[in-house]
Amino acid sequence: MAGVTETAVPTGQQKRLGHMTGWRLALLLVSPYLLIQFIHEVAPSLFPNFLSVVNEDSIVPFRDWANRSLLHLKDEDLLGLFNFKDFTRTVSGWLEYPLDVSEQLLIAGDGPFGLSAVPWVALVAGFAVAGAWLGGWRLSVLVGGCSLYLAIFDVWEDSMITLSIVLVVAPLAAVIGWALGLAAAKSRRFEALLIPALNVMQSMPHFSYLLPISVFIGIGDEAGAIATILFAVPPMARLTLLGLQTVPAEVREAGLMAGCTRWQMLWKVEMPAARPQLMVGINQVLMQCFGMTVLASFVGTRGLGLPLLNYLQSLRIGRALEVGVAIVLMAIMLDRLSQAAGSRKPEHTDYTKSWLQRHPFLVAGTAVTVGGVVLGQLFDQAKVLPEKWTVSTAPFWEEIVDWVQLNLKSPLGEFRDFMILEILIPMRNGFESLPWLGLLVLVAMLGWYFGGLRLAAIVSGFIAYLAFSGFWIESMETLYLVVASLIVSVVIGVPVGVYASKTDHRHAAMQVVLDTFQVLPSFIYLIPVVMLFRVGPVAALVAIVIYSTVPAVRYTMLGLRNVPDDVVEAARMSGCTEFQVLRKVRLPMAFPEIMLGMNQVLLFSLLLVIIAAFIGGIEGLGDEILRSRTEQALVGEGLVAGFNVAVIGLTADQLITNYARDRKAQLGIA
Amino acid sequence: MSSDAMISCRDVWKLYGPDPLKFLNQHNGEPTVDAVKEAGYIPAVVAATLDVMPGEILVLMGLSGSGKSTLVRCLSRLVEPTAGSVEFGGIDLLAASGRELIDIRRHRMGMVFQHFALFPHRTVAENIAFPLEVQGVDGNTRRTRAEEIISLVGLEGRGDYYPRELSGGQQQRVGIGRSLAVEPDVWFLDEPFSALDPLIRREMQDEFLRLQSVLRKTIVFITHDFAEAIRLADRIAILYEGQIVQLGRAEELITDPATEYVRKFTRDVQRDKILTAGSVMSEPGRADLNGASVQASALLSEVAATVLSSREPVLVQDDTGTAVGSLDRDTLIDAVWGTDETGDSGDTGDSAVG
Ligand SMILES: Nc1ncnc2c1ncn2[C@@H]1O[C@H](COP(=O)(O)OP(=O)(O)OP(=O)(O)O)[C@@H](O)[C@H]1O
Ligand SMILES: [Mg+2]
Repeated sequence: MAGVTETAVPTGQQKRLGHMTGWRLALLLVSPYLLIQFIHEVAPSLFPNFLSVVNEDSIVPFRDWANRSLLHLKDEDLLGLFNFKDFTRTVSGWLEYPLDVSEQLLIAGDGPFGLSAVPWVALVAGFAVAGAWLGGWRLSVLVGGCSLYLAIFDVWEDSMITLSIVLVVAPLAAVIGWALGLAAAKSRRFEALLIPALNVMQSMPHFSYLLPISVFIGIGDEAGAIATILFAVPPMARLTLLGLQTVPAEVREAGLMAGCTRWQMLWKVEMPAARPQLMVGINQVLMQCFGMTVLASFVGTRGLGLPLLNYLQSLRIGRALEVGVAIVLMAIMLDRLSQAAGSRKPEHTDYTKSWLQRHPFLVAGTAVTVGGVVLGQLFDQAKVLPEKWTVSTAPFWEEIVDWVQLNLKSPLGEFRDFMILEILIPMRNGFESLPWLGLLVLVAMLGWYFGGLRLAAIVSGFIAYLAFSGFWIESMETLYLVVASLIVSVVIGVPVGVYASKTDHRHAAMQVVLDTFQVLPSFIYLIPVVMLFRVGPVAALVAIVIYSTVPAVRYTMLGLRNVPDDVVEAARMSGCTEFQVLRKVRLPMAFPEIMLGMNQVLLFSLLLVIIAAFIGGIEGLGDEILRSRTEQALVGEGLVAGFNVAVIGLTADQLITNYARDRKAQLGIA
Repeated sequence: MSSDAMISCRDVWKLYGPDPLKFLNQHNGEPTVDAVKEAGYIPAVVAATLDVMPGEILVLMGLSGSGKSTLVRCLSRLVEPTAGSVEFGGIDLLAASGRELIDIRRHRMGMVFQHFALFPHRTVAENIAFPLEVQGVDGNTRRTRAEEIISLVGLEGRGDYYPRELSGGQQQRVGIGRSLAVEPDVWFLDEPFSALDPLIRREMQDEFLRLQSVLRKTIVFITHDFAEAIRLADRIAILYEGQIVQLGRAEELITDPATEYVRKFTRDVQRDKILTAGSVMSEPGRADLNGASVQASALLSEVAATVLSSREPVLVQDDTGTAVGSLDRDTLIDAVWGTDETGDSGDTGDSAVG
């Protein structure tokens, strides 16, 4: 416990204002904001209009700049040397080849290489063997079963196209991210550049990657592939850096004392010691790539996303559900396989056994491949599953949809109308009329309290940017939906987290549920919601809540379970009831972690609110981005709107992480 | 003295802070510790000068944060000293190129770490053979050597285990084995037994002494446990805020502590089990030449009965039987049960010198 007292040094004004607690402190922090809001409401004539909404003339023309620099990149040579568009075209040309090869290996396309595809029986069996190798028979059954589903339920071709893209982009993204993380671990200066870049990149919505890429490359598989690579690099870079930084100094010194050269140090000491984080990174890269590839259907990338998008937009919910199930199954397959690969510990080698006995899975894998290829030569049915063997589940889903429409239509409709009229519209109006100065002052006060003047300057800079970006109203329209879903997610997620943290059994069960939800591409959450509520803000709200309740539950559970046992025991011994233990000890101790959960909820909501806009019926930043997709001249608008999303996310992120760090240090649970 | 020393370090400084070298130069290379702290620098090692003789066990002691680890890391150049010189076997270590340094570490230095620092992804045998592997020694030689060492450190049959499958004591045996794989001349041990429970620690100390009686290495050993230091050391250096406040044999530290800090360190030891008659005796003149006599090299606990039962001072002889001093009852009582509660070091200390 000696270390605790040393680390508990709050950085912000918490030190000075430490004696103020509860509502008095809160009042102090929000009073400037309340004052502004009061003048704004009561005496609007006294309140200068430009402090409320920046008028058209004063807007900083970020969009024009964005548009012009895009055009510049597109049409003119950089420094008179090369043309950026040519450059991106070249990169996409390089990608074309491996994309073709991998696609033709998985399904018999009719590309220029004339490779014959691996028969589906071999692929399904191969998945099963990989599952058995990495995670035992359970995983084997799971993975084999999932891939069999894909084959039988007539989504084989689309799934394999998606898989073929993922197999090309994931390794590339992993290598690039790894190299960046490594460089940052070796050079402080590079780290100082990389971290803020990663922060911005990770809070940009998916479309901020897709749109500019499609400007340069046009739509299609390559555009999706490049956007996907860019999107999946940050988590890998971060985790590589983290892994290398957490190699104990002593272990490094042990390497030095053994006389390692730099090269030996890297490959024999640091990389193997950082393996756990690297494997988590690879898992994340894989899942991000999968999700993004599906989403890249918006720029015409083929695979599972494209039919889903079409079905959703034409409201053919049954078919959409069928594809959705395939996406879920594939996500689970990829996730469980890569996790199993990551958690494998090295095992003893028993040299008394024969080579064959020592490598059963290698043998089985070879046998399956050879057997499959032979079968494929003998029977056409083994090569490509005949149409008449496949089954469609669409009618089944269609019936469910019909039933819902028939029986639930009016209660659902009433619920929707009530939500819109009584809650969402008033809330939206409130946000829209919020003067930007008020929000700026509020955020600045919080920043000042949590992290001093520096943080206050940063976050108020962010708000000022929003005000002058020309998308203030749109930003507020997005923010209101995010805040609404944040509230609902917390109201649902925290109690569920409290409940699930109570026993080990519940905790383990909840962990499985959360892990499963987490790996699903965000897109998926829209399907059932569209089925129930069609399009519009209520549908978006429900989808966002389902999606972002996951981190709320996860972090609540984490925070509660990290409360030291002896503290809880001390509370019990003081005669607390269970409820008192929760309210007076466990929740306060877990609060910083729960706040970090809020941060995640907010980021998740922001990303999904943008995706939801594509289904329609929601105003705000997402709508701006959507419009720029169809009109090339508006791409600058789309980019600025996307950047606004990132800025909203970053503001919350800066405030909350600073708060949580200080608070944890104070509580000694760093 | 320094000519035949294995390691000889002169006026070595290590300061942590914004620009330590500039700071040192501003103070002509010899700022006071207070000036260092005043300027916001951390004095990790301050003007350290010492020689480690071949075959010697030198123990570094001091409170947490006194700079023991940093000093040892300066001696192996895991940490780059701010100023000073370190000679290793006649080579100027601080001038050595990267390649030379790697060579020296590969063949002449071994180090055992406080928290074991085993490679989690390697088996016991692979951990032990790691220094050989990075030198490019072939697999068969490595395996044979690893087997030898595994039995040397008493881990027979555990070669295929991973570190996580071993107890703390066993893990540190692996650490020791790894540091011995290349038969280094100099062996650095940074609190190798601190993370172990008392019984295992005792066992490992015996093991260490057994190994040393076979291997005869030059050893720099860090501990903050004075009992451990006494068991193992030829000489002990006491560090305080980066400075070596006293360097000498255990008896010298006890009988003639240079500062209050050193005295506090030595207070709780069982002095009669450490001090010899020779270290506390007075001039021979006062002895009753016809009475009993004791050996100068005998521990006080062994001579106590003789001295306490004699009214007159007892004669102290060296190994050849020559009279070298005398020892009376009061001196013995002072030496063992001490007067240090009063903070007065006078009588025992002064009379012991010589
Ligand atoms: N990399 C570093 N940066 C800044 N200060 C350091 C660094 N390494 C060590 N110090 C400081 O130097 C001083 C000496 O540290 P050192 O690790 O040598 O102490 P020690 O005697 O080995 O202590 P312990 O018994 O706790 O291991 C301490 O005040 C420590 O805080
Ligand atoms: Mg130390």
